[in-house]
Formats: sequence, C-alpha cells, structure tokens
Amino acid sequence: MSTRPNVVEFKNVRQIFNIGTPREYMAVTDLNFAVEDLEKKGELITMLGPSGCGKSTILNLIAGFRGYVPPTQGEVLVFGKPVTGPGPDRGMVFQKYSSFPHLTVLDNVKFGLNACNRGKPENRTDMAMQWIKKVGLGGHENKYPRQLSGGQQQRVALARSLVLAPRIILMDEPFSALDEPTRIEMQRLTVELWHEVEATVFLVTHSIAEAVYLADRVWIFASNPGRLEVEITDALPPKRGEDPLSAQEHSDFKEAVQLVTHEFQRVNP
Amino acid sequence: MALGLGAVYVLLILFAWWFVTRGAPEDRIVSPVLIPSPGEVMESIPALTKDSLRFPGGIQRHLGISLVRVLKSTTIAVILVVPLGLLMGAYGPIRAFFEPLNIIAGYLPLIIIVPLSFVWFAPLGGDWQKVLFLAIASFVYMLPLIVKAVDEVDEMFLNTAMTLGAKGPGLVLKVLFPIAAPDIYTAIRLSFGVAWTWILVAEGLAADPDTGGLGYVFNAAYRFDKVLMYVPAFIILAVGFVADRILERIGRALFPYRYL
Repeated sequence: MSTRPNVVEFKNVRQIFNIGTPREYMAVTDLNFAVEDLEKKGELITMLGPSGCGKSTILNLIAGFRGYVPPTQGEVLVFGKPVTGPGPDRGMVFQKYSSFPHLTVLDNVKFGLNACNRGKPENRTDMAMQWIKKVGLGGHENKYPRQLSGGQQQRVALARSLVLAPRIILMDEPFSALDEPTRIEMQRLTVELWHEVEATVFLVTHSIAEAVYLADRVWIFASNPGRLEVEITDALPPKRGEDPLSAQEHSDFKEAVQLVTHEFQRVNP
Repeated sequence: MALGLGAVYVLLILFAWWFVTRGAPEDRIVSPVLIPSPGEVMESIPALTKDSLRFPGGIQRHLGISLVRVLKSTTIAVILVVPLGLLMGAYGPIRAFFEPLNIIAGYLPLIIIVPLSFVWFAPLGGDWQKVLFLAIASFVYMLPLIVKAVDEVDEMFLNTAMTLGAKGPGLVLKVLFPIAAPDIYTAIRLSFGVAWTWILVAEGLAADPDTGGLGYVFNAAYRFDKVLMYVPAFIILAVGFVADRILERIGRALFPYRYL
C-alpha cells in the first residue's frame, strides 16, 4: 500500500457563484472523491452529465482559475496540497481553440518550456518538435493558428500541454467542436498519447460512446445543484488498443454504453 | 469594386462642383462668394506655394511642419497611453484609479483644452504648446480603445498561459500585450487621423506665420482670401487618407498572422 498522497482529492466541496446577488447559484455541492496515485499509471476519468451539472466547475477547481480559489466550501487537494492557483503540473485543453494567435505552432508548444524554464534553451525546439510530431503536426510547425483546422488546433493544445509532462490533464469537452471523423481520430490519439505520459486525465464530454471508449472510470453527474452520483469502473470494456470505430463493435462495449445510458437517465430523470 | 464605386462617387462630386460653378461669375448657379470654381482654386495654388510673408516657405513647408507636429504628438501620446492602457486593462485597481480619465475623455469637449493647454504650456514655446495639445487629444482618444483592446483578450488565453507556467508580468508582456497588440495598433492608427484633423484648431489659435502649419494656412486663408482655403483643406484630407492607408499597410506587415 503506497503512502503517496492522492493525485486529486475533493473534501466536501461546494462552489457557489454570485454570492449575495439575485444570480446566486450553487454549481456543485457535496463533492467527495479521491483519485489515488497509482504506480506508473494514470487513470483516465470521463465526466458525463447534463448541462449545468458542474463538470467544468470541477475542472476549473482543480486548475485553480480565478474565482475558484479557494472553493466556497471544502477543500480541493492536488497531491495532498490545497490548490492555490493554476500551474504547469495541471495541463488544460479547452473546447474553444486556445492557441496563442500571435505564435507559430512551434512557439505555442515552446511557450510552456520558456515560461517554466524547462530544459536548456537550445534544446527546447527539439523538445517541442518531438511533441509536434507525436500529435501529427510535423510539417505544420511554422504555421499560425489561423492557418490550422479545428482538429489541428486541438493537437497544438495537446502538444503544448504534454510537452511539460503534467501529472494531471484537464480536458473540457476538447472534441465537441470537431466534426465526427476528426473527433474519432482525436479520441484515438488521446488514448495513444495518454499511454505514453501516464498522467491522470479528467475529460468532460457529452458523448456517452466517447466516455466509455476513453475511460478507466466514468463519472455521472446530476444537476441543480451539480453532484457526483455514479461511478462506473468494473463494467467498462477492456482496452484493446483499437480505434474507436471498431471498439464500438464489441458486445461488451455496447453493454457498457447501455449501462451508462441507463444510469445517466436514472440520476437525471 | 468598392474602390471603383468610390472613385465614381468622387468624380460625381467633382463634376457637380464644376457644374454649379461654371461660366462667368454672374451667371453661375452658385455664387463665387459661396463656392469658387475648380479653375479658381487651381489658380490659387501659386499664391500658396510661393514664399511669402503670409506663408513663409510656401504651403509645402507648412505641410511638413504639421506632419512633424502630429508625428511628435502621436509618439508622446503612444509612449504614455499604451503602458497605462495595458496596466488598466490588466489590473482592476489601477483601472479603478484612472477611470476618471476615461470619463474626461468621454464628456469633456477637447476644444476647451486648446486655450487652456496654451496657457499651461506657454513657457515651453509655441511649437510645444501645439504638440502637447495634440498629444492630449490623441491620449484621451486612445485610452478607452486600448483598455477595450486589452479587455477583449479572452480570459481563456490567460488561464491557458497560467497552466503553462506563466505568471505575473510575464502574463501581461507575453500574453495580454501581444494578443491585444493588433487592436492597440488600430487605435494608434485611428488616433493619428484624429490628431491630423485637430491641427486645424491647434494651429489655428495663437499662430504665427513662421511656425504656422497647415492649420495656420487654412485659418489665415479664411481671414485673408477665402479661395485659398480649398487647397489646404484638400491637402489635409488627402494626407490624412494616404497616411491611414500607409499605416494600415504597416499594420499588415507588423501582424501578418492576423491576415492569413
């Protein structure tokens, strides 16, 4: 039994916005969970729930963005320490395209290396190029974000985050804005890269198939106020290293999707 | 296409001008007292370009004086307003502290500042009076635009930068400023045009022929011989337009990624 602190732990967390105004509302409440630090293996947790159930709020609380530090009530711990603000140990991929418009792909990926003073300055281009190739953007490194498709921009966001080797990766509906073929390709890429970095990933999604394909654990939320209702782990199909389309053909995959759908509907009647 | 239609419009205006002012002075649709004919305006050019007591060095020298003045004033204003606007956009308390400046910019008629600035800056001499007034005009014009440019940088970029390890001044210099820079530049470009129109007022008051400028030429013509007003007015218009086109080209060169 390891004595290492949990990767992420929420203790009785509640988040209320616009306190004391007519627009006051409770985004999440009674959040209690712990994600253990497994030896050489990060978990991929997908978060499902109706709009307004606080999925993004949880990511923002872990990231420690402005307005989320500290939570209204309770404690958000990352590796045993309360979150005090954003940092490079927690990478983030947003739904909106967040590549810096004034920087090329290469400079976008080098941004974190420079900001964190990671590696020798003369090696940073090589470090960045390795990840640019891994996400399949080799040859595009001198383009600006405006010259890229949506899928390519999300690859930049992945490479930019992964080059810093974060222990935690937060993905807020990263593929929602993409067309279906691109989305499937990005799901495949996410699994592939995730095996390489072994980070703990929290991924918010609206797609049950996506949640089942990617996850070690599926979390299902209910809304008003947002709360974590169900965790599904054992019923998920084993990871066979398949691409999403063929993975969905297996009967155990279909059963898992049915189960998750059933649970989703049960907690969100 | 748009440019073609614009050219047609200009030609129509010129044609209408010629049409209503053609013929002998007493036969014209519009009396020469109100509007001179294109020919009369052309004939007024030598009186403006030759070196004279009223226009020492000719109008070309005064064009140069005005251009240098507006370049100086814009430079001074930019040096002051860009850092201030950036800080106001980035930091709430700094913004709250300087917010009254934006109220002044919104509601104070700048024309009031003209004589006041001449009083304040009198010890600095005539040229600085005008330059500093123009700098004030540019400053109050640019400040809200620059604050808005910084405001409109999506918070997502800041959040992203922080998850990549950026913090403090690095966020302002490496993220806020470069992302807002194209819009800040647009504010500077527009303010150049605004300052250029203000020379009519700045150089019209308390002017002497030696250090006049185009604003002086225009105002002196108004008092002396109204037909002389048209050429400086046209030059102000044309130079303003051409300068704006040039500044726009420079903007495209400075921020190529915006126009890909």
